[in-house]
Amino acid sequence: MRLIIDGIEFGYSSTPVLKDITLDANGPQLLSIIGPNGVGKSTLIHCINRILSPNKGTVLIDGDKVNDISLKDLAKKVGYVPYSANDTFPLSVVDTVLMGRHPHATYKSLDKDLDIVYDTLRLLDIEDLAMRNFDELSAGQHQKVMLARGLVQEPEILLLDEPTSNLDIKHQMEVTRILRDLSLEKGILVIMISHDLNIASKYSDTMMMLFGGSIFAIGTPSEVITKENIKAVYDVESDVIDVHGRPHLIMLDEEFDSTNKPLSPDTYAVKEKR
Amino acid sequence: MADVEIRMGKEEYKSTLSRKITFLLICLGVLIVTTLISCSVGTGYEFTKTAQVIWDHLTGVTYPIRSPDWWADYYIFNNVMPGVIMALIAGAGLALAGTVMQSMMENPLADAYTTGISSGACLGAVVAIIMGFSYSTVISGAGIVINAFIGSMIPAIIVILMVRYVGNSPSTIILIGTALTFFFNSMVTLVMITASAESLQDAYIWQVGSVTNASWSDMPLMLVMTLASAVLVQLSAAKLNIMSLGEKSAKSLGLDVVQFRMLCIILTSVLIASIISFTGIIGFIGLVAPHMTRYLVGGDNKFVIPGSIIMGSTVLVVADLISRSLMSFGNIPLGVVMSFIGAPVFLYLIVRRKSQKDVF
Amino acid sequence: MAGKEDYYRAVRKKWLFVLLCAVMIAVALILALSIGMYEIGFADCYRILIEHITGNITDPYADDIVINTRLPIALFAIIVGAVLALGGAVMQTMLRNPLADPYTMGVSSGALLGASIAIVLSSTLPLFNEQWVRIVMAFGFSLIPAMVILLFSFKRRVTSTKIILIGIAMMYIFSAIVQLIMITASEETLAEIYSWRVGTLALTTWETIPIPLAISIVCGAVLMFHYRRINVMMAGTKSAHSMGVDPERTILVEITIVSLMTAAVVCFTGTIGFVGLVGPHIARLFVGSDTKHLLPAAAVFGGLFLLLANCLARVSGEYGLPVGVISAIIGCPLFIFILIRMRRKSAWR
Repeated sequence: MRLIIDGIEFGYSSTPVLKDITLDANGPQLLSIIGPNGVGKSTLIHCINRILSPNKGTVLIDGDKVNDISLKDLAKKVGYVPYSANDTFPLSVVDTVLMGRHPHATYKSLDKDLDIVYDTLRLLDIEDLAMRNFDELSAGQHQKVMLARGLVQEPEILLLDEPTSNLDIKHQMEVTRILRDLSLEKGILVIMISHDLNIASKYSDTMMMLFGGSIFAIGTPSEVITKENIKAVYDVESDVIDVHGRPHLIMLDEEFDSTNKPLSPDTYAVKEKR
Repeated sequence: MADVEIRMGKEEYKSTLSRKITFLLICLGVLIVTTLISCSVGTGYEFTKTAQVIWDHLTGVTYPIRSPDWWADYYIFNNVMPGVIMALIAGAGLALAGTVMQSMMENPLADAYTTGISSGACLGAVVAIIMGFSYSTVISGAGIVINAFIGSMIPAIIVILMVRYVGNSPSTIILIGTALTFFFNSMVTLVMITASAESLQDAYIWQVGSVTNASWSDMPLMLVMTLASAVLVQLSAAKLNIMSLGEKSAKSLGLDVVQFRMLCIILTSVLIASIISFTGIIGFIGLVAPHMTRYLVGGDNKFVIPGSIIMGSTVLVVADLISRSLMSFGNIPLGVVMSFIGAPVFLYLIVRRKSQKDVF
Repeated sequence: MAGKEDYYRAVRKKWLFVLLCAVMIAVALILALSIGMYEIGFADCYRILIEHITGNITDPYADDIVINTRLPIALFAIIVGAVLALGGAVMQTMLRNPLADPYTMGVSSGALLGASIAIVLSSTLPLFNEQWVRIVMAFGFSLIPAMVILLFSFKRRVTSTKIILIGIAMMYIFSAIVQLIMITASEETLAEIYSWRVGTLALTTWETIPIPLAISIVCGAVLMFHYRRINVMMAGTKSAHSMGVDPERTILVEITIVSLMTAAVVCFTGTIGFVGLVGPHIARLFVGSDTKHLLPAAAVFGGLFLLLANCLARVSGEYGLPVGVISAIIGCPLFIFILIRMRRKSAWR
C-alpha cells in the first residue's frame, strides 16, 4: 500500500497554501502530521482523498493517480475521520458507523456489515452505546464513533484530522495505541494530524512537520522533535528528553518559569468547606 | 515598542469606527433625499418645489385657501406623503425585526415571518374583508387593522407557549412556526375559497402588501412601536452579537439564552404585527436588508441594527417610488415591486457569498 | 452476537410501522369509497369491488359511482400523498434541512406560473381552456428550475449549497411573477388561479391517473434504490465524499428525480401542501432517520394521510373542502401534539 505525493501545490485564488510537497510512504506505519495552525495540514489531507484538487502535482496510490480512480474505489482504499461531527438528524450510533460501509456494501451485505460494525465498536470500547442516539453522546464519544466510521471502511490508508483532541488522557493513549496496532496488524498507512506532540511522538513511526507550506522536517520522532525545530516552527523554547527511545517535549516559558509560582491559597481563598 | 503597537491598534479601531459611523450618516442622508424625491414623483411637481412645500409646511407657513400653493400643500401632504412615510417606517421596522430574528435564530435565512405571524395576520384581515369591512370608511378600515393585529398575535402566543413545553432551540421554533404557517394559510384559503370573486380580489390585494391606503392616523402606532423597538434593540446589540455565537457560547458568556430568546420573539411579534396590520405582508425586507447591511458594515450588531433600519427604509421608499411611477400601467402594489426587487437581490447575495460551510 | 440482535429488533419495529400504515391504507381505501353524497355502506363497497373484479356486477349504478368516480380519486390520493412525502423525505435527508420539501426547488411555483399563464391566456385564446393544455403548461414550467440548475452545473462546478439556493431563488422569482399576474388579473381570473393553487383531487378520473402513476412508480423505485447514497449524504459533503459518494452529482440526480416525480402529480392536483414537509417528520418520529426505512415509511404514511384527509374533505359536501386545507388543519395540531409527546425521544434537539 504505497502512497506517493509528487510535488503538489495548492492555493486559493490569492493565497498559496501548500508548496511543492513530496512524500513517499507506505503501510504499515503511523505517520503524524504536525505544524502550527493554518499551515495546511488539513489541506494536505484533503488533497490525498480528493476532497480538494491540487493546482499542481499528483497523488498516487499504488501507482494509480488518485484522479483516475472512481470515487467509490477510492473510498475503499482511503478512509477519512473528520474533526467535527455532523449533527442534523438523529441517527443511532450503529447507523452512523454503518454509513462507513458504503463503499463495500451491497444490498445483501447487511449482516456482514453489522458484524464488522459491532466488532469495531467493541474494539473502541463503545459497544454499549450502539443503539444510543448519536447526538446524545459526549464530545469524546462522538470522536470514537467518527473513528469507528472510518475504520469500518477497511481502508488501506486512513486519514484522521485530530482524532484525539476531545478525549481524556486515558482515551487519547488508548485510541492512538489502537491506531498503531491496527496499522501493524492490517498493514494500514495511518496518517494522523495531531496537535498533541507528545502523544504523537509516543506512538508514531514517522512524523512530518509542516511549516510555511512545505515540509520542514520529516523522519522518526526523535529526528523531528528537537529543540531547534520546535523553536523554528512554533517559536517556543523547549527541552526534549528521551523516554524509552521516544522524545518527550517539555515546554518552557523561561521568563514565567523562573519567577512565578502558583498563588498561595491565602490570596485566593479557595477553602474546603468543613 | 509594544506600547506603540497597542496605540496603533486602537487608532485603527477608532478609525474603522468613525468610518462606519460616517457611512451610516451618508446612508441616512441618502434616505432623506430619496424620500424627498419620492414625494415629488407622480405629483407633477418638481423636486425643489416639493422640498419647498414640505419645508414651508413644517415651519408653519399657511397659504390662502385654494391657491395653487395650497393645492400643492394639500396634495403632497394628504395623498403622497402618508404612503411614503408609511413605507419608510415599515421598511425600518421590518428590517429591524429581520435583523433580530437572524441573530436570535442563528440562521441567516430566518426572517420575521418564520413564526407564522404573517399567516395569522392574513387570516384576521381576510376574515374582516370577507365579512364586509373595506377601506371605504375609517371605522371599517380600522376594523381590518385590528383584526389583522389580533390574528397575528395568535400564532405568536402559540409559539411562545409551545416553546415552554417543547424546547427552546431555534430548530424547534422554526418547525412549530412552519406548521402554524401552514395551518393559518390553509384557514385563509378556506375563507377565501368561500368568498365571492370580488372579496377574493380585495383580500388578495391586502395580502400582497401595499401602502396606498395609508393615512396620517395610521402612523402613530407604527412609529411608536418602531422607535421603541429600535431603541430597545440597539441597547441589546451586544447581547445579539453573543447570541449569534451559538447557544453554548452565549450561555457561557453569561446570557440567559432562554429568556432573551423569548423576549426577542415577543418584541418582534408585536413590532411586526403593528406594521403588517396596516400594510399587508411585505416580504424580503426582513431578509435582505440585514444581509446587505452586513456586507457593507460588517457583522457587529451595533452597526448592523441602525444600518438595517436605514437600508430597509431606503429600499422600501424606493420600491414605493417605483410602484407609483408604474401607476400608469396599472395598480402595482408595493409588495409586488418588493418581490421583484427582493428575489434577484436575494439571488445575488447568495450566489456571491462564499459559503464556508453548508448553509443547511 | 448479542449486539446485532438489538439492531434487528429495532429494524423489525420499523417495518412493522410500514406494514401498519399499509394495512390502514387498505382499510381507509374502502372507507373512502363509502363516503359521498350517495350513501354506500362500508361492507357494500367491499362487495362492489369484488364484484367488479370478478365481473359479476349486480348494481351498475353503485358500481359506476364507486369504481368510476370515487376509486380513482382515492387511489390518486394515495399516490400523491406517497409521492409528496417520499420527495420530502429525500429532500430533507439530502439537503440536511428539516424545512426542505419537494417544492423547495421551485417545482410548485413553476407549476403555478405555468397554470396561471394558461388561465390568463384562456380568455383570449380558446386553446388554453383545455384541461390538458393547462396540465402540460404546469408540468413544463415546473421543471424549469431543475433545468436551470442542470445547465448551471454543466458550465462550472457548483457546490451543493449553491444548487439549493438557486432553486430557492427561482422559487421566489416565479412567485413574484405569479403575484404580478394575480394582482393585475380580473376578479374571475384571480379566483380561478387561486383555486388552482389551492389544489384539489376532485378532478381525477381513470384517464388522468396512468401517466402520473407510471412516472411516480419509476421515480419512486429509483429513489428507493438509491437509499444508500442518499443516506450517506446525511454525513455532510466532505464525509460523504470520503465514503465514496459524489455530493454534487448525487444532489443533482436526486433533485431532478424528485422534481420530475413531484411535477407529474402537481400539474394535475395543484399545490397540495403540508404532506411533503411534515409527513417525513412524522414518519421519522416512528422510524428514525435511517433512509432505508424512512423512505418507505414516509411514502406509506403520506399516502395514508392524504387518503384520510381526502375522506374528511369529502364528508363536508360533494366538492368538499380542498384536501390541502384539510390536511393542514388536522395535520398541524397532530404534528405539534406528537412533538410534545415525544419530547424526549424527539426528532429534534
